[in-house]
Amino acid sequence: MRALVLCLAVLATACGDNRAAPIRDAAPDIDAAPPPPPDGAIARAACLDRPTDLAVAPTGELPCDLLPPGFAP
Amino acid sequence: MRLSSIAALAIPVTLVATAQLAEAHVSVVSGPAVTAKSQKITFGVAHGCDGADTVKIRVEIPAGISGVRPLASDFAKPAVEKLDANVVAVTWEKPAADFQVEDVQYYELTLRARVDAPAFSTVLFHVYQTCRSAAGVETVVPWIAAPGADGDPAAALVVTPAHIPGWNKITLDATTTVAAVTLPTYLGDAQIVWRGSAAFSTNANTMAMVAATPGVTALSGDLLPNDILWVKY
Repeated sequence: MRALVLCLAVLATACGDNRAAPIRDAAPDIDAAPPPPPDGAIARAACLDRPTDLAVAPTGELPCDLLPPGFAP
Repeated sequence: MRLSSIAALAIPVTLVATAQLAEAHVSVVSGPAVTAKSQKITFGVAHGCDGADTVKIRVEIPAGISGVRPLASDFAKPAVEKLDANVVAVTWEKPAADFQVEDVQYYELTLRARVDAPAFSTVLFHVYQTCRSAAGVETVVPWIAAPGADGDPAAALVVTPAHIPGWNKITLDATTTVAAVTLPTYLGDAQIVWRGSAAFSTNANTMAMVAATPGVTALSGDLLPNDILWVKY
């Protein structure tokens, strides 16, 4: 029993909490989505920036992966 | 002696079938070809002739097709006809021992060739299908009619632009016009086709999304020379 408690304590220490850990050499956040337009209009663009983050089409409109590069309605 | 052997020994009587008699169909079943590339082209023989088995297929090589090398199939080994160095026709003739007294089989015949024909065109292969009845009567069905013409249609090979999976920017050349009604023929295997803010897809669900998207219209009208398309395959 003592060994189990010791093991758990070691594991908890090893996991730690990295939420506040300093980030060194962080790359600029170029992959972030652009801010929404101020007038509330839906920004529509091809999803070149985040190809793994394909939008679904909850509104029935074309998802970004079906919009061509450089698309501007 | 088996009935098939009896039929094979019978002296064949060759007739040329009329379009009304022919129920067979010979067509390209390998799908659209890509321009300026060597690839396999497969012909499917869906039926014989009024219950008679197919015993021979002769495919004439049209302009726009070069570098022909036929494949042997379980139907028959091929024989080529040449003019100078070019293959002008390929014939597959079934061995007598393989003759079927009934029309029960589906056949596929393949050749590898370079497609020189331009994108957004259709190459027509003239195909002659020979069938033999159990009584030994041979019938030849010419599949040579152009689209819309009377007679049995030639085998049509649709030629599409070179493309890769994903987005492709395709510019029509200065002499190419693509009729709107043929968009499904030449671009039917694309997920979506864009010209400016107008889009086309053969997928009805995609077209419903096109209709529901502000600033986007359904692509209509012919594609014109020098049009720039974004096509996603």
